[in-house]
Amino acid sequence: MRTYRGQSPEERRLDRRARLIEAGIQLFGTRGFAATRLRDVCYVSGLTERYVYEQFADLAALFDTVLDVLVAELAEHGAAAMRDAYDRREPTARVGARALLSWTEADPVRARVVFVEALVAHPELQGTRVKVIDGAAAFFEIAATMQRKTELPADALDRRLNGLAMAGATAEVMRAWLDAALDVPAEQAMAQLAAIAIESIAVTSGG
Amino acid sequence: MTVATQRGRTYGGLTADEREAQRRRKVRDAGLDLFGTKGVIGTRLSDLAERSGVAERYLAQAITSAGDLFEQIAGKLVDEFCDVLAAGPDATTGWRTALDLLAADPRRLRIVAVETFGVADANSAARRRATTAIGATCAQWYEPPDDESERGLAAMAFAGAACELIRAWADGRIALNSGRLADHLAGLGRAFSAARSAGA
Repeated sequence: MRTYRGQSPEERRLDRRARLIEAGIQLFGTRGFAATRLRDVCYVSGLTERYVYEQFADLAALFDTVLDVLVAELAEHGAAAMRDAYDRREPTARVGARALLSWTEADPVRARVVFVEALVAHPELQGTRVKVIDGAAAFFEIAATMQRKTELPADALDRRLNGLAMAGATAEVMRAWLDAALDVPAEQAMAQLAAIAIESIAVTSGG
Repeated sequence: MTVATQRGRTYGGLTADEREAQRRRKVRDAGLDLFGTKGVIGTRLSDLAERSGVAERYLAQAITSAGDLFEQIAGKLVDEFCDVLAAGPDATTGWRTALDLLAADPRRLRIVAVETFGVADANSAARRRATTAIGATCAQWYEPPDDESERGLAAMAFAGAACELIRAWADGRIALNSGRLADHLAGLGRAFSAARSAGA
């Protein structure tokens, strides 16, 4: 097989893909999806249009992949925090909230793609918002089962509503943080969000 | 060309002031329709001009941007929603009446629960007013944190939670009636108010 600077065609393709994804993160997380054009992606990645189209049908497809990559990064960051805290008998909610805090502080541009751009629901990004919110709601529902000493509601609808409520609450607080509209330090906000998650696990209605 | 500025002169039986009031009404109605169906992101000044039948040059006298009109309309609908919510003798009744108000007009539901919270900037005046008013109802029914900043955060988190549930209910993503949703929101309001940042 022919190589170029020691890289096979497949390696070069993957390298271009990574550059396009990183360019997408930077653009979507600073100027936003609505203001990003194909030529911006070309300029930031240093690749021509034909290489963008080689991998992504349009900017919405690039956004979709960028979002998947970031959600996976956040999940990995959260999983690492859970592993570190395994022996410390600390509430899961607090470990998770601290992981969200450190991930966001490390790179607010990345967090903005997930918690602002993906949730605003641009007309071209149909289904993105629901995917993120339902994913987060499922995460909170599972996390609730790991919370010690709390009785879970017997009715599945109650558990689902509580997971969805926490997804909405987290989205709102993250949005305020990233828009510089929080009146408290982010660390305090995340601690209170963790306390809210614990308090709301057992909420029931009707069932 | 100077007719429009001559206040005393009537045109089509209307004075200049009356015509201006009529244009404002038309623009407001067009805003309610477009923001409540296509949303704030998909609506430009030219769409408002087309829908209202008011020429863009007049439109510019009444509003500076589509976002400006959105804030006016959303602010009013949010106030009405929060007034109904706060009028409930208890949380469940308040939420039930407020949900009925939203369900009666899909445009209202979209502007209050979807556009104000989902789309508008977190610093939007309508969004801030909604959060403050929802927080005030929590103070009326529960015992929220003494600390002002904690109380603000509880209100913000609860507003986000409530809007998410209302959207899922309105979209049919969760199957439940408004009575059950009202009960659940009342329970969540209590739980969110009971949490303290130091107690996690």
